[in-house]
Amino acid sequence: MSYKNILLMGKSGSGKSSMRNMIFSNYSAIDTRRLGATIDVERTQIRLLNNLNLSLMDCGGQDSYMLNYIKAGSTKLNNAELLIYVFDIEGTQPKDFEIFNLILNTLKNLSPRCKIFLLVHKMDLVNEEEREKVFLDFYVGVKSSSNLKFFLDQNNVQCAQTSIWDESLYKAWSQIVGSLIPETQALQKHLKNLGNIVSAEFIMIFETSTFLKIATHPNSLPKDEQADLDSITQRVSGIIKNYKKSVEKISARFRSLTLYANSKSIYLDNLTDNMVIMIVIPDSKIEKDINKSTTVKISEEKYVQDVIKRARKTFEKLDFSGKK
Amino acid sequence: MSYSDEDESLQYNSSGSNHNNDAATVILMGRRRSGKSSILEAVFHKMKPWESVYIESTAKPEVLNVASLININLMELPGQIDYVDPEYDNSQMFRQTGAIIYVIDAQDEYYGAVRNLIRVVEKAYMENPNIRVEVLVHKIDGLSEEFRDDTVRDIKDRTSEMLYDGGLESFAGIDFYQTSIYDQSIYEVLSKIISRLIPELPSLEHLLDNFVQHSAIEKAFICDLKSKLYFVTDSSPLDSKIYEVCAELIDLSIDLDSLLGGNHDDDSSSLEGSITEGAITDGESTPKQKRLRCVSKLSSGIKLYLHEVLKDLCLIAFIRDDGIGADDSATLAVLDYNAAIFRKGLERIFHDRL
Repeated sequence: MSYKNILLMGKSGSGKSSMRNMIFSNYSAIDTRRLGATIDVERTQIRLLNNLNLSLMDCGGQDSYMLNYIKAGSTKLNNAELLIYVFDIEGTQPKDFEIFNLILNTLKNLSPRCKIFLLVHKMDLVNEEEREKVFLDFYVGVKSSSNLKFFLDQNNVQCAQTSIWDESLYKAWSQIVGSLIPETQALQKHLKNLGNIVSAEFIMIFETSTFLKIATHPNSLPKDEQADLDSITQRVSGIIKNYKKSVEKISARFRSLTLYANSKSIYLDNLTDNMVIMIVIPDSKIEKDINKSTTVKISEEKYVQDVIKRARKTFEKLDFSGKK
Repeated sequence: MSYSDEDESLQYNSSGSNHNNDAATVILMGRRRSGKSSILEAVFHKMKPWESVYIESTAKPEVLNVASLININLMELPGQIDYVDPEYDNSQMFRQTGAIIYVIDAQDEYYGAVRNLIRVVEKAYMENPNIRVEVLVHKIDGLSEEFRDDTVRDIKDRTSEMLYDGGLESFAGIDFYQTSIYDQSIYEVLSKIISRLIPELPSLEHLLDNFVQHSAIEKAFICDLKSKLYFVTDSSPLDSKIYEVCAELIDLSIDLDSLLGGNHDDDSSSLEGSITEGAITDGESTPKQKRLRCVSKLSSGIKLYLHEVLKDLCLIAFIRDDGIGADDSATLAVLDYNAAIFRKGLERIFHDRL
């Protein structure tokens, strides 16, 4: 089985392992206090979706380790698909940029096609009004690293601000995972069909173990709400993750949820072994649509469950391995 | 700031609360920085626990009114002022109080706090022999597991010793709890304390027991949607973990509702064709808004059922299916039906207030 190598790097104490454990091991932000420093490299194998296999290498960030990775003969940076580099917004010194630059230099030779994701972390320490500016200033600073230009030219660099205390973490990691899924057009097409069948306002698909967003489809969402779609999806990720976590305390697993809210119905259900779907339907819209043609009254809940059941087969066939 | 200033503000607040005279008063006391304000902020204002470190020290008594199944005035007294000072007229204060919640910081030196607690108990008991004193050994999350029980036991022993010395050994209305705002413990303990003050508690419990028996439910709660506190639960033993999951379901329902649930002020148009309410209302009591209803299925046959029976008050049921005759839609239909009956019962008990 082939794995995509993902490097998680950054200076010691910048928050790499905290992130990793929150995203992949269901830690809550407060739990990360327990984590100690990562020694050398911690390798985690992650299977997302059907056949997207990732090998995440959490690289200890002490200077001595960092210099070790770029020593001649070290194979750590070989065949990397993606480098996630974490900067601590408060504690980054000029020396750390130098190391970053050295890493990039080695990476350029060993994995020239590597994508780079820069996370400017611990943004919660910055005053809320100044965040955007501080972040941009920092990014400009990072961009000046001479070896980043090589990757920038290939359009392979992305940058995001994160904090483990709000949904920005999920946003950034959704982007990261999204960049690894090669074909989303097929997925989008299916979502659109599904959206029309159930008269949905909004559909969203999550990955089961991390609850990161894989795809969304704003079927009939009002324009002004579409603008906040990103922030809505991130917050939904966070909310459901919390619930999922507490459910595990009574040694059960999340299966499905139906919520009748003020004027919408919200359905959450397993779509495949690796995907959870959320469908938001405006009130009584579907009732009118489905009961128009038939004389037999069907409840919305039954109908949606049935549609999801039928959709499963289609979605199970989707291939995310990136093989052509 | 002089004492007279404080006195006035206290006077002002208590006279302010005279508007709802039937409200029970709960006094929240403890030394400064023991975590009183944090508790109120976390439970009633949804403040994230880690944000509570920024709370300013409370300078004057503050009253928080909680009006739901029971009308409660939660009065927070700042820790730096000695309210049991003989010069200070506090007789009135204790006489109207149903319970005192005394917060002790478990991470701090607590002998002083225990001494202060004893003086409060002495004074309060003198004014109101029926008063309950609930001691929260707070910030327990900072202690390692093995020290938690020891700390509480030590505080308990010291307190009973000193109560004995003060000739108060007969005072039985004191209880000790471990709490932290980083988990559900504070919600659970506050729920217990508040539910004791509900005069209709026995009838409510009976009502809930009835509901549980007829719907094959393992555990049921009546919760406040805003604070997640439960006011009543059925008489079977409580498993904290089950309450925790139920509280989490409230969070989820509320959050998803506010995020995606649509316009909340729109109360007329959402009425027609509302499939969920249509089935269970009988026409006489037309709800202004469609109420929340949530069903979540978990592995091993567990189902969670949440139904907003009155405004901001929900019924939550924890169901564990044994697999026999487990027809989901039938189970839910029975639940919905019974929940509607339950609501009528609730309305009958509180007809004058709701």
